[in-house]
Amino acid sequence: MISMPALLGLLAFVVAPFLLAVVLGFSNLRLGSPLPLEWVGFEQYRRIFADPSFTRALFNNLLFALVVVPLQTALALVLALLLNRRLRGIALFRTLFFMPVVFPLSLVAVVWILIFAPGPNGTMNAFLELVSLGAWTPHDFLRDTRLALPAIMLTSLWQGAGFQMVIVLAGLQAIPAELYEAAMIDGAGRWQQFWHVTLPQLRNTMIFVVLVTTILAFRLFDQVQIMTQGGPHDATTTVMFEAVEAAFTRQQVARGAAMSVVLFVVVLLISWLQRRLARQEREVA
Amino acid sequence: MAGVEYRHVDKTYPDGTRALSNLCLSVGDGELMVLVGPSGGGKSTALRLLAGLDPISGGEIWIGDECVNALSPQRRDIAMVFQNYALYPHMTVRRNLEFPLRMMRLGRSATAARVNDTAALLGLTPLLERRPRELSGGQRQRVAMGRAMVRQPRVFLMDEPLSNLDAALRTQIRAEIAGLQRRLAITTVYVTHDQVEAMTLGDRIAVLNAGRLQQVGPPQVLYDRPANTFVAEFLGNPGMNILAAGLSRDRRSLQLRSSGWEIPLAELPQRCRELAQHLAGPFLVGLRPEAFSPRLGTTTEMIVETVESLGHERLVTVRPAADTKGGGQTSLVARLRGGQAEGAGQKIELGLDGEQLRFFDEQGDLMG
Repeated sequence: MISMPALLGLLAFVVAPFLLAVVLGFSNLRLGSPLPLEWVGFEQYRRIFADPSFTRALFNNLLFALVVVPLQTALALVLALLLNRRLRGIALFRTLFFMPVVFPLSLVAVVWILIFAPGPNGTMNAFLELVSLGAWTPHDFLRDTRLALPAIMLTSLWQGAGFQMVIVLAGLQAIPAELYEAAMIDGAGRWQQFWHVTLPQLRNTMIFVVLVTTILAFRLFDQVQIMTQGGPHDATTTVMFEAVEAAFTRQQVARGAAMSVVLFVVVLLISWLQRRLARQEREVA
Repeated sequence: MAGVEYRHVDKTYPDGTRALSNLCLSVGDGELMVLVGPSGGGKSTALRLLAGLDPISGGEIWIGDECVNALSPQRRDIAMVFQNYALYPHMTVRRNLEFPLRMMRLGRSATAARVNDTAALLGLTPLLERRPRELSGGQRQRVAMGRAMVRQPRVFLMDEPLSNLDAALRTQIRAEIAGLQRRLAITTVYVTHDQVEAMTLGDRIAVLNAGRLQQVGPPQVLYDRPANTFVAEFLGNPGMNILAAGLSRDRRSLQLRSSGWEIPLAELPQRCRELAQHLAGPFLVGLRPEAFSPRLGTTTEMIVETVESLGHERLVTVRPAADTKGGGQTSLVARLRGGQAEGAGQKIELGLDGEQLRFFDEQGDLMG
């Protein structure tokens, strides 16, 4: 009985909208359309999978996840290891690395548009020219079909790593110091301590981090909306971007609903797969 | 196989706490040395310095014929049993036991053989494929012992290894540790705050208080002739009664001051020659609880304050009836056997065994 308000909230704000999306996905609802509402079965799904923009969006999401999830997790682990020390001023560094998480994504995206500015005076271009000793010729990152998605990946990495870093740091600090002392006395060097104590002890934390990063990767939207609008030539479009475009710009509500259902199923599948793999590993180890 | 030697070892923590001062202690090859003392006494610090887990501030620590000050824990060839066991939770018992051997890069067959031998010795064979969280406290303790034994180190370090066990198990494993240590004859430094463990386990005991070594010696010697009042009160359960005292004018009797007691003791000056120097001034007298007996020579009237019955004996807190002020200051604990149990407030007659008196000077150091 005490959980009733929470259950009601869950029903009203999570379950109901989702069920509505499933139902609408089987219709041809389009706001402002003179045509009557019809139930079209799987027609919307057939159409979106025939749409090259949508399949490109799925591919982009997948590519984004494949690159960003391992990189961001590794980066978060390295940062956490570096910041898990008792040094003077370590709190300042922790704050600095966490700062991007606090900034609104839209603001971050605007800042990175400036960094990726075309021409030799853009920060990124100037930087790459400097480190490549002049071999780099300036590119217009966000309007280059090959560079636009990597540019967005970089922005996301910069913005997201701090959050994972904090979670991993908490995981690191939960490891009892005695385990390291025991390992030292048992003859384990630094690398062996990392391999035999730190990593196994961080296992659950890492599973969580990978899972959350994957889900966030599939929900990629803000950076795309602000930095590239999905372009050039769908090079940076994502499922979320396509769904929002369909539902709100073109008012094809049913099409947008079908896309979000597809997104939901994909994320569910991946989470389930990761959990399964993680559990198997636990039994073997 | 090697002995351990602390040479003028100091330890000051970065916050300025002085944990050890000028510790000089040598542990013989194959000996079981128990470091005992109250918390904050410096015993755990001494162990951590020997393990190399904390850097040493002054002096030298030797293992065998090697000064280990500059050696990392990995290179000291020691093994340690931790208070909370510090087993690797993600590894099975077998993997836990293998771990030190894998770090030594011992061959696969040799590793398996040693792990199986150790497991058999400790009765761990049926548990080898389990994980620490599936074991009882006593079993975890055995695994921790096994992990230390399996590599056949030069020195065993044990940091309160029994403090997380219940009383019955503690007694049992205490006996097992003593047996194993004697069989393996590996030099062992054992830290505990429990004086019973110290008395029963140690070849020798080192008592530490406030970072200073108070006394080293075989348990019985420390019990019979404590070097100072700290050791006297710390060892024994309950510890020695310590009272202010003085000699009477005619030098024939001992007065326990503040309790109005007089004990005629003609032989006292022979027992303790230094006592003569204290004819005028006060000194301290120590009495073990078992020095009291209702059937001994001259008796004194005592008022019973509390009685704790342990079945085979009673610990009776008394104060001399002549001491009208009362209060905890002059309370004495007597260990009595047989006869009727006393009731609180009852008056009883108690005598003293003069042979068991110990004399300390005003600083608390033993005179005789």
